[in-house]
Amino acid sequence: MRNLLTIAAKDTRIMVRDRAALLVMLAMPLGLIFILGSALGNLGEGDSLDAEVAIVNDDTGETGQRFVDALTSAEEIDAVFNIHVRDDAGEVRTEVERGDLTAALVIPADLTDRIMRGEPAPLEVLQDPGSTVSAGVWAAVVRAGVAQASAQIVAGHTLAEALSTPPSAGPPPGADASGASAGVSHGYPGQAQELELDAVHVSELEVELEKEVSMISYYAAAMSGMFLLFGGMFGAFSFVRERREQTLARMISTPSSTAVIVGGKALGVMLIGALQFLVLLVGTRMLFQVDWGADVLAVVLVGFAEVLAAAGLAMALAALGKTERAIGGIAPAFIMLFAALGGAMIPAEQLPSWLLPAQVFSPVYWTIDSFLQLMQGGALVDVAPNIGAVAAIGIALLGFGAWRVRYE
Amino acid sequence: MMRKILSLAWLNAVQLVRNPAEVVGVIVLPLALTMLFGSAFAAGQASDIRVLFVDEDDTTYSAQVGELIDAEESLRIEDATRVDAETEIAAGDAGVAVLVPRGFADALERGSATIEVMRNPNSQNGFAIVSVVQGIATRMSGNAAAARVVAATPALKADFDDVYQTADAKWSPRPPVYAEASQVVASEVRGDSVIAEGTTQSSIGFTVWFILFMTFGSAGGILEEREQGTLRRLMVAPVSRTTILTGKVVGTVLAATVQALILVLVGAFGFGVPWGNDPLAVVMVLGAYILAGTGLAVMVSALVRTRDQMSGLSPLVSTALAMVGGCMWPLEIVSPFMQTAAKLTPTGWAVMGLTDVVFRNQGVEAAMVPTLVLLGFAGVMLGIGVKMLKFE
Repeated sequence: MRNLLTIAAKDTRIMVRDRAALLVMLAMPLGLIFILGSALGNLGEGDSLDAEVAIVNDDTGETGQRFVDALTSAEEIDAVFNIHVRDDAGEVRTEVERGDLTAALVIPADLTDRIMRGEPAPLEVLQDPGSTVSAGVWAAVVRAGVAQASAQIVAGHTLAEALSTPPSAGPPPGADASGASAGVSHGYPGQAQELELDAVHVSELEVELEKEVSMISYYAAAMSGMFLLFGGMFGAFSFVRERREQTLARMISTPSSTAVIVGGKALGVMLIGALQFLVLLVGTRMLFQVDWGADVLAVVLVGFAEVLAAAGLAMALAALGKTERAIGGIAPAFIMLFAALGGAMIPAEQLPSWLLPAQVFSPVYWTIDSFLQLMQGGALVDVAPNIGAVAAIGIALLGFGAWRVRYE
Repeated sequence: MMRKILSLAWLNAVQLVRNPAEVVGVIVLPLALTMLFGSAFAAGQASDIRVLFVDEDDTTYSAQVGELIDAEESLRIEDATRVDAETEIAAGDAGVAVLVPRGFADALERGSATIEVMRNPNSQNGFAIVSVVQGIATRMSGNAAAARVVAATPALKADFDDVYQTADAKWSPRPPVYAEASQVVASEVRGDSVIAEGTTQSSIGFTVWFILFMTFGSAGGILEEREQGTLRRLMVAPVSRTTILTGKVVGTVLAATVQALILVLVGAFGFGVPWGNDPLAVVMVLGAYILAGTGLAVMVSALVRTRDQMSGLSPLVSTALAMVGGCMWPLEIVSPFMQTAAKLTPTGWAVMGLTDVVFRNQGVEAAMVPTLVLLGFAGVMLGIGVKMLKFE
């Protein structure tokens, strides 16, 4: 045991002496959490888009103008889009092509005519191919407006038909029968007058959410899950360097068993990992007011399990890669795949469904899930299975490493 | 001199190929991530968005709500009970639930029906789904408005349900007014679904991101040689410092070019990303970016002491630059501050340039500014790197 601790202490000392590496491991995660938090902090609030869009109304009748008025007067639309009313469709198309405008609505010259003739009338929505989000939202806004118009026309036509073929005619209550043939009054062409379209309304129900996790807290959990594993990469570097410089061979020649040497090295990685976790925990708490939850013991245990996984990863990497350069290639690949699968880059729920079963192999997945549960008020009992899963992955990796690693 | 530079560049390639793990890391990983993120962002193409549907009324009208949601291209309904929906939404397992309460059909006839929507405010798709439901409510309201008027006229002897169905039939195959959305790309118009936007965004982003891994890995080789003492041996040979560095830079640029070529070809043929719109413009932006990435890698090599530090730093620096530069998500969704920050990074300019060239097919003219800015980055960083790099 003493030998194991000595080896662990030696590895930790070497690591701590390398100020630059230490700074990278401790400061970079905080930097990335900051970037992610400020980049994506206002995601989901529609008004963060503020996209430039245009409307061109070529309609010779009056229906087109109704669309323009409806779109430009709605406050909710105004909050998301800066709408420019323009008259040159060709020019607008070019600007959308270039990405100067995010999207546009072009109302055709024969809109009113087509509606009068009872033909379906298309409105053209132009989208900047470089915009994957705002342009789609604009199309949705236009479609909502178009649905209103269609509903009015459908209702108008249905009424007109019913009234023109009555078994015994008489003006129905609530409808101005004379308007049906007179065409546009203040409704859409071919329709009596604007009907109240409020038979079905949509109401949003309040949902009592479990305690909400802010974007920066989410990424604090996610980046911690990912960066603790990077400690494993540095552990593997240390192992490979000692193998190259033959100090590992010297250790083998001492009475210490390989188990003690592997254990000592793993413990060294864990000590550094614990330090890293402490900095992340305190740093995110002080700098970004991240609330890690009330159950501090559970938070520490989750971190501890992830650090164990990092130690396991270090040994597995040392077994897989011969040189530092090789490890520098595979380690980020492993860690980033674990991270992407675990939801460190985009929330796990957005991953394709066929991939979800693979998440169980990612320690990052279990770690992020645990931290989020704790942030939402969960306790140790809730995350105990997750802690077990991460520890099991760590032990499996450690076992694989100890089995396959070469000491000389 | 030229021969020496080429042999040094060749040495770099040999060192690289000897490390299959590194090659896998810089080529297979970005392709795997392109696929992962591509399908995540391409909503509706790879995976439909799940909408919980609670039908408490169990009538043709309530069923129509579900059918119309399900008919929407990117949405898929899943039947649930009110309690399930509440639990799933509260826990964040589902983003949106649509509920049709008991008595919906009767209320529709009276003109006062309600469709309830429950959504988790953190769900990114919530906004779009609510607008779809709003559209359905409008359609049903229109039908009901006509049906109520007719049914209320005894002389017409018409049934609410019949008139409702007559009106509803007018919505298909096309409603009276409809919107046709299309993406306009210079000299062509692509339909709504022809282009795999999600994959294009990821293919561009990950190519830009992982080129940095390659340049870091390759340029870091000089540190390895310094540690192993082979660099010192080179110095005693009749080779100038400039030649050695030029050889290293040429080697790095070549390696990154081969990597970029593979990523672009697989993106184009495997994922249908329109990389081939204007090859010259793509070559300009990517070429300048590879030079900038090489400059950055040489500069970082000069700032760190050991290969270990370089290996540890490179994934972090490249990931940070990738995040700020818009490699992982479209820049249009980030805050204005971060949009400005993107313009201070080579990754940001590469993504902006490639978005113009690949997404928008804007050609060489649009590639000019990003290319020049990237060459500027390359010059400055390479200059600093070369000046500061210690050989012993």
